[in-house]
Amino acid sequence: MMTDRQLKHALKSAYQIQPSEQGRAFLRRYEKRSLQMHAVIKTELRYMGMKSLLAGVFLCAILFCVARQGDIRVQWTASSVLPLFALVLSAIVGKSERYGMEELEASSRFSLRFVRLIRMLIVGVLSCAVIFILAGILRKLSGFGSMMTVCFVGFPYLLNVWGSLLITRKWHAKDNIYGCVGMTICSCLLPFFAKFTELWSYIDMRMIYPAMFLLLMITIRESILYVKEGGDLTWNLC
Amino acid sequence: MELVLDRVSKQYQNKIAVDRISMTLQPGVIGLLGENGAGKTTLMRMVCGILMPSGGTITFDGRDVSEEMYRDVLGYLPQDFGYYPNFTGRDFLMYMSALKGIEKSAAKRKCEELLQIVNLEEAANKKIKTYSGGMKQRLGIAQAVLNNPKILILDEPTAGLDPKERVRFRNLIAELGKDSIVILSTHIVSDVEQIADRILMMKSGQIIFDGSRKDVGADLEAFYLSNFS
Repeated sequence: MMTDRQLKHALKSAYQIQPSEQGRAFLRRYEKRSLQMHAVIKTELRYMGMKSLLAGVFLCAILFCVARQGDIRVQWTASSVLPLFALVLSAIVGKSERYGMEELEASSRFSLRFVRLIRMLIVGVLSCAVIFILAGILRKLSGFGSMMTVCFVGFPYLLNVWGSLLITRKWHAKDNIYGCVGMTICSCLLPFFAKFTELWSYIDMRMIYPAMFLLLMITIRESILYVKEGGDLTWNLC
Repeated sequence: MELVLDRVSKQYQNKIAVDRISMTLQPGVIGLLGENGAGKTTLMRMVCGILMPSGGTITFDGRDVSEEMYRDVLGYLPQDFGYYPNFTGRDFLMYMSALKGIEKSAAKRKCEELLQIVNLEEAANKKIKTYSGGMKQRLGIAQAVLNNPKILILDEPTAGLDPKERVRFRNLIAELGKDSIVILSTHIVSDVEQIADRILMMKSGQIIFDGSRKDVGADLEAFYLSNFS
């Protein structure tokens, strides 16, 4: 024997209007898949990982606050901390492999290659903004020209980006992030190495320009290879 | 609608994973049986266009499967797949909808429909990391059919599903197989027995049997074991 509550629920279900089958069939026929690329970019931004982005923003805030203190030693500190920012950003770029989403993304219309490209573009724009803002603040302290300040500040960062991309591309494993951490530590220590060995007392400072140009070229090459490889997954069976 | 594999091979250094497979597939459910290491997953990945064959070609209605437009009509459920840790079930389906190029309002409608079909509507707003194995598998099946695919590749789709869910899944696949090419790779003979129109058996990278349900006889499992014993 039904209770009042059960009766009420049963009556409600029995009299509920069912969705139209013809309506569904119609929608299926006319559901045009017309999602534009900018909508996919917005989706990638939305799902980029708030924790990683917040960590990056927090790091930048510390850097900018410290940079405004007005001490020449700050320049070295900024240069050695920026690779940590690169580590946070490389964690964002390499998410698909770390969480096992690469197969699903590779088989989608906007494939893994596109997802990697979008992430790298977003990350690249953010990085350039951070480096140029920081270089602008530090230029007054250092007395160097703008380009030289950008090179000093950006060299360890770019070295870390190149190394992390190479590691991620060659080391197909979820824990390749630890290799990136190792690369980050080396990049962070580079400015201190240059300072304590007084590198610039026996090497012309202008050598930083061709070094930076070379590093930029190989980083761009590595980025292109990384995006291209998103089009063909390889598994090592050996 | 036709998927044609022409002398498709895949070699990794000194191992041949897939050895010159040729076949033509039409709409219906194709069951792919084989032991571990037979090359099923490698073949599936090549059919999806995410792995380049070492030799041969795979075309769908005359177009190579490496083309981007092919992925517009493709649905794929890998054997193992992950998820971003902050995703709920709904987030996952909406994200996959965006990657499949489905416009937002249509995607919302489709996601709700699929969450109901796979019986996940109550867990839709919970994080995927709280899901059981069966729930994750059902979510994977849902994302595979988001774009009403003409080619549906399912690699071990019933792993982790209880018998009741397995029956629901079979009904869904049988329905999809009427208008699409569905390739179902599994160890579970009964899944294939119930719904496959065509049965392929694979061993050491080669197709050792290609026939219909009638060619196999009454007991598919006995036939399968006799071919692999």
